[in-house]
Amino acid sequence: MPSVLSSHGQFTDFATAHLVAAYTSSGPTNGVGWPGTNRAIYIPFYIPSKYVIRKVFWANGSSTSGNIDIGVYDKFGNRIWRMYDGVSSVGQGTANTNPSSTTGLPIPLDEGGYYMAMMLDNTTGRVIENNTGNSDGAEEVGLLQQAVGSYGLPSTATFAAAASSVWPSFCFTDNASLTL
Amino acid sequence: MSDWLVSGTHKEPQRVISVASQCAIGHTIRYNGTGLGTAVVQTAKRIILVPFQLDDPFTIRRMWVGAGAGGTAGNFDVGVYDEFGTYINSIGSQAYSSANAPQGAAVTQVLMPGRYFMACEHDSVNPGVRRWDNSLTGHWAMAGVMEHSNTTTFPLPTGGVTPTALAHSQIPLFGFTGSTVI
Repeated sequence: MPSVLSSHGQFTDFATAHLVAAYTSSGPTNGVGWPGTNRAIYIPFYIPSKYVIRKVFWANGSSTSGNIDIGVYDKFGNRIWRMYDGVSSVGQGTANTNPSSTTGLPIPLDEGGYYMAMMLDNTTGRVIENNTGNSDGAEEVGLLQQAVGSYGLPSTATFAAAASSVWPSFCFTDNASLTL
Repeated sequence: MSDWLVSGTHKEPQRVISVASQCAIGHTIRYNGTGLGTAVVQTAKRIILVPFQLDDPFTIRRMWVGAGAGGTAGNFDVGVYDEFGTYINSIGSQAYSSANAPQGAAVTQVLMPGRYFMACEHDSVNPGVRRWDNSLTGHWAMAGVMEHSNTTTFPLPTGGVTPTALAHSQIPLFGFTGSTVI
């Protein structure tokens, strides 16, 4: 297992791997603002062995706003961990930086399938993202979403078909000392 | 909920491991949007550290870099460090002899399963090197690419490196092969 599990890494590249390059031919961008207020985007991934998440990073785009949440769900949609502790909102941070958090970590993951999730509470903040071209492409590569309604990733995901083509860039690491 | 396709195991032929390998940052490179190009070295004496992991032992027999178009004046070094930045091996200072061809040197090093950094350094901005470029360095950073900063020395330090946040937009094409020729 690598130290860094990226939302664009080898363990999120699965059944439609051979199509992904075509969908994301435009490369990463600064984004055009999060596609929906309090919208969660779920990215499936599979790990072949145990892994302990000790830190999370996200890649901010050219403008930031409001608050962000990142989390992990099991394959049934049960939340295992989220960055927001339910009390103190997590600000998105400075534009064009890679902020991090260790709140609520470490958490161990066994071999298996999971979802990594991200949400923003506004549509102004930008994260570096790849774009699948359209929401059909997002669906076809396995991205899901949820209109949560309020800030904070839910305890149970209600998966819905992707309504945007955004594939945000963030990662987990088992190295709590890592700086990216 | 459909079952996950087990694709996390990456049993690729153990002959060439480069920055574009699946066990390195091949997926991130795939999503870069723009393909492999060529340019002069971005910053002299700046070490690029690309993470990779091995599930099986691999014997390095040659380390190389993909020379690009343009100038060939200058030298390069390619090496490997463990995930903590401890030096393992490198080929030392090598002079570019031609453009548009992979160049390197023979070195024998057995790597056991684990995590490593492959490292590349140039002593000047004169050589042309094949590389991927993206000004959104967060794209590379989210894959774990790092650099050894504030270095004024060449070649790669045998005393180890301190991986720090990436400030480079270009990822050169370099790697290792398990044969004596590439």
